[in-house]
Amino acid sequence: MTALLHSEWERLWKRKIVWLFLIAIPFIIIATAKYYMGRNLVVPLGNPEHTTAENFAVMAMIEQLIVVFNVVALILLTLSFTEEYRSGQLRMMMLRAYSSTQIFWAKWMAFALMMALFFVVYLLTAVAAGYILFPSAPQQVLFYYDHAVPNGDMILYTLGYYGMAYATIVGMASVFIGIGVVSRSSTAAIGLGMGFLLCSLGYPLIFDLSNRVLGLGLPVMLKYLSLSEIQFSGIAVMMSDAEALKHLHAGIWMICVIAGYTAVLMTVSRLIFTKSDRWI
Amino acid sequence: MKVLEIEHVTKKSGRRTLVGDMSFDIMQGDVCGFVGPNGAGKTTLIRMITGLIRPEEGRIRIEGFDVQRDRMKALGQVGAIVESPIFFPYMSGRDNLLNLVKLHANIPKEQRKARVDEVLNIVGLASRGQDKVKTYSLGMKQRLGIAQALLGNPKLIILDEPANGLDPMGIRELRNLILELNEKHGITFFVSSHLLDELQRICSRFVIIKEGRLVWQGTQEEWQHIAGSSSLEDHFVEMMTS
Amino acid sequence: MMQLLQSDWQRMWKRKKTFVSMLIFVGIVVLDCLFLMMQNLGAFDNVSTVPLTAQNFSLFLLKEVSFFLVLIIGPILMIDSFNGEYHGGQLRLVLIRPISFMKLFAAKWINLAVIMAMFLVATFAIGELFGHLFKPSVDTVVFLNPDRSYSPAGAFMYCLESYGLFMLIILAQLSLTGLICTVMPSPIICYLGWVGVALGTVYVSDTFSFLMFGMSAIFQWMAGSYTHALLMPVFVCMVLGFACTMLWWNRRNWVK
Repeated sequence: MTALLHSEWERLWKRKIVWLFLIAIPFIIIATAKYYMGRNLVVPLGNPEHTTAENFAVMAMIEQLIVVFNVVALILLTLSFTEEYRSGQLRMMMLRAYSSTQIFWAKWMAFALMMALFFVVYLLTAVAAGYILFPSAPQQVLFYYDHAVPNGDMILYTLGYYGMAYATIVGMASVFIGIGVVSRSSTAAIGLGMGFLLCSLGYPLIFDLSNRVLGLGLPVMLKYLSLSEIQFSGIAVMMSDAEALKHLHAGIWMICVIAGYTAVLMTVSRLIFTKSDRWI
Repeated sequence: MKVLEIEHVTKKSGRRTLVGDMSFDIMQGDVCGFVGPNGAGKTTLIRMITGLIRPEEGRIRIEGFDVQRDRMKALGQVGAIVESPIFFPYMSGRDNLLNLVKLHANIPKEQRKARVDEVLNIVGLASRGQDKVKTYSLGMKQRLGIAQALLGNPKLIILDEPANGLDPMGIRELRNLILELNEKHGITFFVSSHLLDELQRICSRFVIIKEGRLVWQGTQEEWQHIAGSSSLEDHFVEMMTS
Repeated sequence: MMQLLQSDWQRMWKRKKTFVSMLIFVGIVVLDCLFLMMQNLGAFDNVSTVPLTAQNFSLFLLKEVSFFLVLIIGPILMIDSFNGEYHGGQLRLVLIRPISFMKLFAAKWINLAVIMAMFLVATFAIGELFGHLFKPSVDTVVFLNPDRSYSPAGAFMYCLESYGLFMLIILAQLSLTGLICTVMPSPIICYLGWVGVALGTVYVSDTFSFLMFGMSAIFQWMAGSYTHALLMPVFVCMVLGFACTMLWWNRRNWVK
């Protein structure tokens, strides 16, 4: 299995797109910093949206998680699952002494490791850019916090934020893998994946509106059935330290949602991947 | 009369010469075998003849028209299979041909359907024309490949490794088809292949290349003469290893 | 040229994806209509809203579906046509015919423009239909600029002009995608390239942010409050992208 994982990692690593993204990370960080520098002119210090050297890493993740990381995950998974699966390249693997289940998990692990690498590089670059481009602040004001936090706690908060962001990407990946194994072409996989992402972004709006207009009275946390909503505001809610939000048990709910997506979709995808005889 | 003229053609990829200063002619009515080992530059030259890539130096003329300068007139005389013919899999064989025949200005609109049916008949695919290409066997795809090459009433047909993947029966069918088209319709053929045995049965002339350069050209009789008592295959191997 | 257009048009519609995209898109438009019907206000941005009426319904509908067109359906159809056929090797059958490569690109561009126009016409027609069936008709309509009010006929022309502007933005996208598809090797990379260009321009310069946030630019431009040039950069993208790609197609090596 280690050899299989190594082989999957190597194939993923050899793809231009991985290098393209790694090279793009500093540029993405600079573009994001430029955006927040402009925002700082209108957002006063003391507002959680005001960017400082210490919170830039989190702000940079908030800005790029939904589009950049999701799209990169979608593309990596489409290459790994749909393209190899449909173009017949996977036949080379199937002829070796590995089961299709082992290949499936090796692909997933290689992807998860690659994304982890991207997160680490992104975090390190963002931290460096934060200290170079933004002024330091003695303590940090965070979203959904009743009090400011010292810079020591900010490190833990940043790591926690990246960890949860990574978990949402793994959850999102299970949807993209599901789409990837049923799609007949790469462009179809990307179209469906992006369609899911947009619907996922639209769901909270529709949920809020129907809840209000139709007077359904559904619990507000149902909004976080959308993975992109967890990415958009959920992580901050989950990590909040505000008395008003404590009764919601947001952390447990959202972790259950992510785990639910992952368990259901990975099981179904694995079944389709292993039982299907549409090897080209 | 010269149908195809290759004059000092050179193509490079970086510092590597894919085709170097190559010159030869093909005359009307010839069935010319284009022979060389893998990587000798056969497909590169065929891509240049069909206008897919440009030579760095030299000229290619078809029926007197320069492929670079007078592309439309030059390619109007040619039908080709370059590498394996990849069709639009979501269309039937007939629909593929109906789609492609529109691109031949010399076939009037009202004659397009008749022309497609005619070429399907010639290659023996009339009964399977309505089926999607993705259901075709490799042999049927090759025959459809020849059908698409015939669409524009070409004077020259270029086939790049047409026997690839064909079973012995498929190869025999292909051979008979080439000979029939050459004899009955006067079409000139330029066929690249590894199968020297097969080319011997149909070709009147040979062009032999190695590492992008012309090694020998002439008629089959001339080759036989210089090969002496050895078989053409043995002589070919000797040429390639010397 | 006509034959090239016909041949490419036929292939485009024989691809299941085109028809399925059309169906999915109409479904999305109808769902968005239902979503808008539940609302009383149409939002131009996070701050400015106006009452939703029969006269402005189609404009807000376009805002809702614009991301699907710009980020999913548009790029996929464009990439399939400009890069997918070539990457799959099928285009070789077309390239070896006596045709001009420049005309082939132009034919693809025109056909895609027509298809995208069909998507917009469908959106406009469905929007007008739903608006007039389910929203109240009013005598005067105000859009983003509260100082300018329009009669129903004026509002109709306002919506039509906004759709026209969005079509121009789509054409700019079409030319840029053509260029991306010529430079990038595979459909997947082309898609990433398009997302990169659309997103990147937002960060690089507000002048080109219409590629990603077209409707926001159109709302402001129509209200007279857009602070950048709009038509000039749109035409620059459209014409420059088209011309560069066309010349590139004429000179490039077709090795797939």
